[in-house]
Amino acid sequence: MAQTASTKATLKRNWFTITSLVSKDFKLKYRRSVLGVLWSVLNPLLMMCVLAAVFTNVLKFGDDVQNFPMYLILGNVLFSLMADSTSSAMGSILESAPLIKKVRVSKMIFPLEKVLFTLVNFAISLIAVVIVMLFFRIPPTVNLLAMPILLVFMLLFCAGLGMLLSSLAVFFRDVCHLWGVVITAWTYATPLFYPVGLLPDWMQAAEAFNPMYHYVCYFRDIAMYNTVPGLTENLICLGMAAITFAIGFAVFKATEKKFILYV
Amino acid sequence: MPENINTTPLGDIERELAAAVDDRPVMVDVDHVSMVFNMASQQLNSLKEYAIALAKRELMFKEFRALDGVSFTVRKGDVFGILGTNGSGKSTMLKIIAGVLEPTEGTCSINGSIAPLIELGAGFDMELTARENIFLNGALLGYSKKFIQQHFDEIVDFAEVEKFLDMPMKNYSSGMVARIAFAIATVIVPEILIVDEVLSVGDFMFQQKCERRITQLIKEHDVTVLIVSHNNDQIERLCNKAIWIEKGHTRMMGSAADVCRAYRVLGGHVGSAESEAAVFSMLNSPTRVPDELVSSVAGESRYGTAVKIAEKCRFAQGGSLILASGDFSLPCMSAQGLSGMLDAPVLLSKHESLPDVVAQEIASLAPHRIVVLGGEDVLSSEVAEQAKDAARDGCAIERIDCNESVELARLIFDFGKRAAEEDGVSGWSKLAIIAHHDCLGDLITLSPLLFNQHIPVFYIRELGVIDDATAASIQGGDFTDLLVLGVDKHIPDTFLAACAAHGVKSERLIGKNPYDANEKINDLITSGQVEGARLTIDNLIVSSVWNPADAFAAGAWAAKTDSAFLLEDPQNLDSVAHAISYIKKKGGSVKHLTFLGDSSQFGRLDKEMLGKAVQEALVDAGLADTGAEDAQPAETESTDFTSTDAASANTQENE
Repeated sequence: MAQTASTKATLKRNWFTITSLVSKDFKLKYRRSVLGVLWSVLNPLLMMCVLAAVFTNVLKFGDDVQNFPMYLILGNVLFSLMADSTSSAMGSILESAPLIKKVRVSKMIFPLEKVLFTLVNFAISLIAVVIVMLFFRIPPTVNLLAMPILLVFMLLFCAGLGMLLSSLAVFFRDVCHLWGVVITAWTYATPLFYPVGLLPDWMQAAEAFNPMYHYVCYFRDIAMYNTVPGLTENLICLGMAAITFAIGFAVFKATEKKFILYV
Repeated sequence: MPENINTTPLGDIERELAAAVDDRPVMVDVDHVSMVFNMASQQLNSLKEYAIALAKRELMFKEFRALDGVSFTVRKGDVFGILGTNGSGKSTMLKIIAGVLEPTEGTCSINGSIAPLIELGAGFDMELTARENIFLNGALLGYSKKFIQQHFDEIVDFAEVEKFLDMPMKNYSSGMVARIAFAIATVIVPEILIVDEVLSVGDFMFQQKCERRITQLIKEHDVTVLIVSHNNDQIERLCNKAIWIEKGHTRMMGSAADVCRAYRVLGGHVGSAESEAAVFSMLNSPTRVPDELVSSVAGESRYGTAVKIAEKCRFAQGGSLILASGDFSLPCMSAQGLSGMLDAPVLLSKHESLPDVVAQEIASLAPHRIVVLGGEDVLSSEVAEQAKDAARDGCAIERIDCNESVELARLIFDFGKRAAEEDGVSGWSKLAIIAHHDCLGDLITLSPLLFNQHIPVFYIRELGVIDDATAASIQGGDFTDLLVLGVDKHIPDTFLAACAAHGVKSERLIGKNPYDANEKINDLITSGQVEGARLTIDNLIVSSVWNPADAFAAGAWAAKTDSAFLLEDPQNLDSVAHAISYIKKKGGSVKHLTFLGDSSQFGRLDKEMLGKAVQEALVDAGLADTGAEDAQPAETESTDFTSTDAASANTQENE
């Protein structure tokens, strides 16, 4: 009994620490900018405009897709959630080195906090998605209720990757340099600005192993294609998230005691 | 760090551990904790470096043991101090206790909530306001939101930052940041409080406030406290128990008073294990030192000290006076013989102006002649003017005009020769001294003899080079004996042979180390070997090798009070041990000690230890009774010369 009570207290304390850190990051991100939080909405919108212009007028395959800007913004916003959260989680342990060296604090807080903070930004950028839906008169459907399920998958996936990267970055700073390249490659390997049918057959087959492909498809299915992903698709998404999380968690737990000697 | 720092335990630590049995619950139990850092791996920050190190097989080497098998227990209500020099593993120990570090070997168990005040303010973000930071830092320290809200005003009050709450922290002064950090960390009443040097931040007022808060936690809440500090006094004041860790090894454990005492004398000081043992046993010796056994002389500066010494010697008014530069030791030493010949005090001056205290002394001595040693570069003409103004009307200023010490020493000899004829006083001794520049300690030790016998001191130019003029002076028929301070390399045998050809017998005086030389010289001047020398070592003037300037002008005083010099380096245990054994060896000949210099040169314990040596030697020789237990412990901190220097006052009256 006492055990569970103390675990509960620890969890509650850690949750307060995480929310405090999220609110700190939030305040710092928008401090001294005139438009402030609005940027989280404007940014995906402007990005969408640029990409739409390029891919419709220059590369000409934008026309193959119905509601191409919507297609773009959905993929982009979701992929950014992954890219931003993993990148910031990666450096989180190194950044909080002064703290880790001096205060006894659960180290897992730091990568998780970064993922949560990115999720908050993602939530705000959903407003941009709503604006696009209004503009193109895409009616919302009950399928959007599956959104929280997708977010749970994404959270698990990003947290797992974030923990893995953050612990690796402590021992090998090379990871920090490499990850940017990986993200860029991943961006192009995932059908964000092009229809998947454009890919050669073998690559289309390979997409089955790309978690982000599954999550982006999931998102587009519920938000613009008005379909509910089947059980198999849900299980694939969950499986990928769970495995990633488990690996990340295990690596983090195994190495966290050594962090202090390397940061 | 010096290499030869001892790390062996002083006293029986296992016994201390076993003796610590009482009913109070154990709050912190450190059991044979070792912490090993892998030095190589700390620097490997990339795969490439890792691969290279792996290839070179350096990966597993270079272990650094920050802590080696340290054990202690802290019980409820204890205030436990951890002492040690820089890099001895104190902070590592605290971090292990705080749970930040995991020990490599051994265990550290904690029983209760901990508030670590280790490097405060670690979680502050300087872009945020103080208000935001209080919540953030509180969260990181593990407080609940409700707790912080409840105690918010308390924190702000303590930190005194009401007006600046909504200002970004980057605009705060470092003192304000420290105050907020301390206020947040101590708002909670923990069961175990860990304090690491935090009290050294902020201004004086705030430090007191912090200490009050810690004392309050100790007294009112029965909090168990662990303190790391360089400040010995603080540990002694706050703690009841203490451990001394040196290079990761436990050196001593026990009551805070005992450990602090030992640490103050031995901590961070170099010296062999034997010397340390000798010093340690003297420190722990129960001998009480009678008040009148030890006294101190210290001016506010070297100039003030010289004045005090001159006052002490009670030179006649209207005589001569020698003014030397306080920055150059060699002319001061050469001046000792001249000082004895003219019965003139040696006063020191700065180059650019005459210190006020010196001017006053000149006015009270009202000399008819002031001999200024050195040219314009040594003592400026303003100094000469000011000295003339300070003296009575008609005072003659005679400057021995030479800016270079070797030549100046020879000119001082010439001057003395002439002055003795003019004044009709007895001139230079038949003994001369030639010295290497580094033999300052030897010359200081010799200075009573120099004064007493009017012995001139000459210097060599550089290794093995002796000026022709200097050689001519020595060999010119004025001397029959030459005392040589320096080895063959400095003053070659060929020169000594040349002197012998001119009828000057020479003798080399060499000690194994400065303290040995010090002893040899004292033996020489008390033995009567030198003609006419009647010096004793009744009173030993203890001078620190760190500040020989205080002894620049002390020759006259030593000669007039039958004193000899004892050079000591309080930081060097070998030197302290030598001083103790020297005093003991003299078996009661030493009856009084006068320490030259303020408390920054000799601490209370430094004085007490040598005092004990004197007292024990006297008791052993049957010259003092042991029933000194009811005497007050030696309280020797005094800059007031006349009130403390009882023994030398007696000798003066005898004259």
